[in-house]
Amino acid sequence: MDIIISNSSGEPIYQQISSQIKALILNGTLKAGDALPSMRTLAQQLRISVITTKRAYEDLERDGFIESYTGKGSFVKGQNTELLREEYLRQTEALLTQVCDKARQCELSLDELKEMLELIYGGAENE
Amino acid sequence: MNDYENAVEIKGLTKRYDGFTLDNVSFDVPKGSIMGFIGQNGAGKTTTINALLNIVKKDEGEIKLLGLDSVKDEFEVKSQIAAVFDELPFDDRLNANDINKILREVFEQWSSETFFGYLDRFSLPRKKKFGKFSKGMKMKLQIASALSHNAKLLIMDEATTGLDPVVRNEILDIFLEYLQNEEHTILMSSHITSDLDKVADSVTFIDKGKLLISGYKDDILDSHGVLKCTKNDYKEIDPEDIISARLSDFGAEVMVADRAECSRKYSGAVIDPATLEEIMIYYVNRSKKEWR
Amino acid sequence: MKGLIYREFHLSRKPFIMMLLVYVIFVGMLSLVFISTYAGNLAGTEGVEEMRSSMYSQMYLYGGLIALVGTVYGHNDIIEKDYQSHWQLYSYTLPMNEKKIAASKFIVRGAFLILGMVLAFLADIIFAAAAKLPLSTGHLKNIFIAGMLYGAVCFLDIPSMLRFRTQAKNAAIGLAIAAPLFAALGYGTFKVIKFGYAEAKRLYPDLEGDAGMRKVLMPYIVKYRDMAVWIAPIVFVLTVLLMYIWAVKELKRRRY
Repeated sequence: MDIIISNSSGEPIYQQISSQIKALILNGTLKAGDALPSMRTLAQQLRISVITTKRAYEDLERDGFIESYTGKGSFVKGQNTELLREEYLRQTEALLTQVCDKARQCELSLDELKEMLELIYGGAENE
Repeated sequence: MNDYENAVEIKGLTKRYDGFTLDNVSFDVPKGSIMGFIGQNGAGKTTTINALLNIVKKDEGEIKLLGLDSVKDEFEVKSQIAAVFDELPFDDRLNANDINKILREVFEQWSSETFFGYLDRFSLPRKKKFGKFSKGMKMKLQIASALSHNAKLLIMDEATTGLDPVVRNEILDIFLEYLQNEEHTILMSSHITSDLDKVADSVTFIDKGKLLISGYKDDILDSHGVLKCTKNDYKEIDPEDIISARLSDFGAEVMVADRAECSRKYSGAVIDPATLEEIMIYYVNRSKKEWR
Repeated sequence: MKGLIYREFHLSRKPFIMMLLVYVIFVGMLSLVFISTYAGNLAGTEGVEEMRSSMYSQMYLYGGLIALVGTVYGHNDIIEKDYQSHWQLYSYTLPMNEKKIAASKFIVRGAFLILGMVLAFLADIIFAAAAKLPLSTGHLKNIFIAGMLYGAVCFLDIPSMLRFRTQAKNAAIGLAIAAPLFAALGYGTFKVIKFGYAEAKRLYPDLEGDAGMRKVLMPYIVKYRDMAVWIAPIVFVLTVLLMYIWAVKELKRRRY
């Protein structure tokens, strides 16, 4: 599991950690039931405060991505499909917004866009 | 076994000297964490630590270490803590073997195996006299002996000051390793805040014998900021928001304690996150309000 | 406490070994000189008998001095070094109470002192044997008294050094207090000798020089010396007890 922290990005470190772990869960690198490193180990390796990693894990737990058991550690939660889907929907929407912007820029009409979409989506299905 | 939440609890610690008073200092260090105790030279860090270790007698206040009273239960406390100072307190004529022979009779829980293990890990010679050790070697030796009797609390007074960055880094790694055990706690005083910027769980600032701030490092770093603006804009800033400000010919740099609030109030101003060092410097100058 | 004791012995060992060397050489060489007065080069020379007995009555003092002062010497600066190296500071962080810290110092110094006295006695015994003279109990008594008094001063040094931290300061204060005492002692000695001369003139007018004075004073000296054999150890023991109490108090005061 790779986690990269930037000290100068302005984003609080605990947030960087929780979003990166979220991403790893969403893209399947971390699967349901996988054990996360302990808060202390992570803090030691990243050379940050345990309070920071604790906060990141608390956020992840609150958002339903992981489950923490005292004495055992933290594990990626199963049953993420709803959240996953929501997250993917969000991402798809964001990408589509970008696509529409680009389309308008090169003066592609909505129908032409729909055609392109069907080609690509259909093509992808046949693959 | 004693159950406690805070490895260190200080309430109202006061110590009076001629010309300097440690005045009503209170803070706690939660078990399993590392606290950075920050302040200038002469701010009162050493006095506080000396009071914790009962090296000086406090005039007022209550100190609890590992849940025990630091004076009444002194003996029990001292079997479970280790102190590390900025200078090796062992005679220059002694060597590591001697220290092993001496301290194994002093500490019930002394482990020669652990001690020699650390010596090997730090590549410290066993028979060489300390007079021939470099500064870095001396500090590593102190740490080796501090970690060899199962101490639950490490109290360090300027332990990393005077060491080169490479050695400091090695030592910081050892501390982080020590903290992997949740029963272990570290209180370290330093005026080299760069070490603590990353690693500390909580920090306490002290200046001229008085407590400035004490709290989680993340909270302190997230809430403070350095607002940079023109000299004219500076005049518009509410003095309540300002800790202190550094003015130059080209503008003003203002330390604020509530970064989020200030970026709302003074939209358009550049507010950078602050380092512990900057926080210390601006707070130390807070009585001057404006300085150069 | 064992650790502290080991530490102090270990740090004091070099001067001690030096002194032992000096002692062995001194005693050895003088013994050879004694032997040579009847079995060697000096045998049969004029006045050699008197020389032998006068040497015996003087050399034991030097042997005693080397032994007594030399054994404790290595331990003298331990407290000053402890403050300098911050060991004193560090020892306050150890699970060790003040009574034990003080006791360890007293035990080590006491051990050196006893050793010194034994060596001092031994020197006299060896000289007596080498000189084929009867062992003088007067010598042994003198050594004993000197040991007791010197020992008392050595133990006084412990809490005093704990208080004043450097040998310079300690010596200065010691001298300041001792100076009037020595002045009084000097004056007293002067008066006694004057009395001796006066009495000698009266009682033994034909004796020349200081022979008469000696004859007058000797019985007194012996009498008081024999009293001192009992008084000195009492003074010594009282001093050790008082000094121990002071040392513990001083350690508890935590002057930092």
